[in-house]
Amino acid sequence: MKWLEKLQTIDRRIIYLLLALSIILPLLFPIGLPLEISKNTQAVYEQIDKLPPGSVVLVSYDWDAASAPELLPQAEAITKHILEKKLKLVAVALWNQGATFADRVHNSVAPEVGAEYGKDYVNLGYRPGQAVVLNSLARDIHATFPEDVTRTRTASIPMMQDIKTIEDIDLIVCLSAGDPGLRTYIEQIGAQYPVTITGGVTAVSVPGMLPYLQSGDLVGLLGGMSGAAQYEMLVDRPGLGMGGMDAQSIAHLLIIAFIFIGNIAYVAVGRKKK
Amino acid sequence: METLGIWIGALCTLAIFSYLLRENPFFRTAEHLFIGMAAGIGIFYGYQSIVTNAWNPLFNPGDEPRQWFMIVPLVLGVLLYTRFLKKGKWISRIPLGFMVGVGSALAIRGVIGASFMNQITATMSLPLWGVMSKFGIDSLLFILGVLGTLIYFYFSREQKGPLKVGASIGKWVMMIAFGASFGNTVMARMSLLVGRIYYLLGEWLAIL
Repeated sequence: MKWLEKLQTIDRRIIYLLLALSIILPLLFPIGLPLEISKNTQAVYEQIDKLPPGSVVLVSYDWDAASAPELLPQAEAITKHILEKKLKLVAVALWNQGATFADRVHNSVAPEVGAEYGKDYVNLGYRPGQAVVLNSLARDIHATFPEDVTRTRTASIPMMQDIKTIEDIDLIVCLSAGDPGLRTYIEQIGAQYPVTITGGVTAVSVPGMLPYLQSGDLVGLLGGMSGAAQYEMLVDRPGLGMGGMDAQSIAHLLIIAFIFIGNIAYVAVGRKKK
Repeated sequence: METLGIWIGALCTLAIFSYLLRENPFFRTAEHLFIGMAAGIGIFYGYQSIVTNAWNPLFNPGDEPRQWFMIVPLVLGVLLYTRFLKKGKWISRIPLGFMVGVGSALAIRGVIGASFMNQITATMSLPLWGVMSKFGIDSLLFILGVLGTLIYFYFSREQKGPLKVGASIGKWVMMIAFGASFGNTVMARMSLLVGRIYYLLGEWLAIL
């Protein structure tokens, strides 16, 4: 059984190559694997969908470039839903790259739905301070974010005239890649004020957020690229989420195959040696 | 400019991927660029935040009333740098103590409500003793898992008899949780790889 021994010493570069091919080929030639909408994704959708026009949604961009493949498609799909429903969107960021991503999402989605900056949506930018920022924001949004990203005074932005405290916010959507993020919102705002919190996180963060779903502190959750793909399907806006799901599924199958083959070889070679 | 940005992004991605073959100067250059830019962006946003939140309300208030109390955070911020002075090092402990105090107070207030009490209440309110038609095996597993995990970390008595059984359940539950967490981590890393390849094929080579 020499080939089994060879499997244990296979060059890692061959594995890298196979993994790259398992992603490139489905991207070039999509298979269209079925995608089911999960209960948690549906809950996020319903939270936004049931709001009457003119309601205010605070979207927090708490992530950086490293999490963009998972959270950027989530942000684009959610933003499209919010703006299409004629809701007011206030974007803030607890991570310094968040404000840039908010701009990128707005620039891509707003022209599609005919939304206007300052009237339908606004980007208040990034503030350092984590929990302190959220406590301050809850009491006075204008004092916490005195200027938006274009250096315009928040108080002079038309849609911000009536949005001053957390009581003026109808829903919080936090897209987060860690702390500060969704957990910070739940602990600092959800535990103190009667505002519904929903959001999306990277796949790594999903297990850590599930207890908050079970306790009702969090209503709905998008998890990683699959959550983004499901939401893209719900709002009919195919993007990286749906485009990448075939590739991700095939890559997962390949990894599972590697684990099986590696373990079978390990056990077989081990027995032979004994 | 956008095309230039896409090319820089693509070349840096390829430089980072080249590490899979072996460490090389292209990888190191991209790595240093990334660290330098991340630090630069951090400094820029930190500076911006001080100007917007403290400096302008104090020195350039425009039409709004001057906020004199902003002198306090500005002075506290400057005091942090006294740690570089040999004799005045102790002064930096004042703002540091203030930051630790405020941070802890806020964390405790939030954690006790959402991450502690609400979790206990949610577990206790599971329908184990409720209407039988609503009883689900998941609730039983959930409660067994919570109790088992708590018993695993109970060190005041030797773990034998029922305690040993409970600790074993806890150990298995934690192993399953770690496995699920690792699976999600693999999924997240794959998403990053998919995202980068999507960028290379879509935005750079425009063949998607």
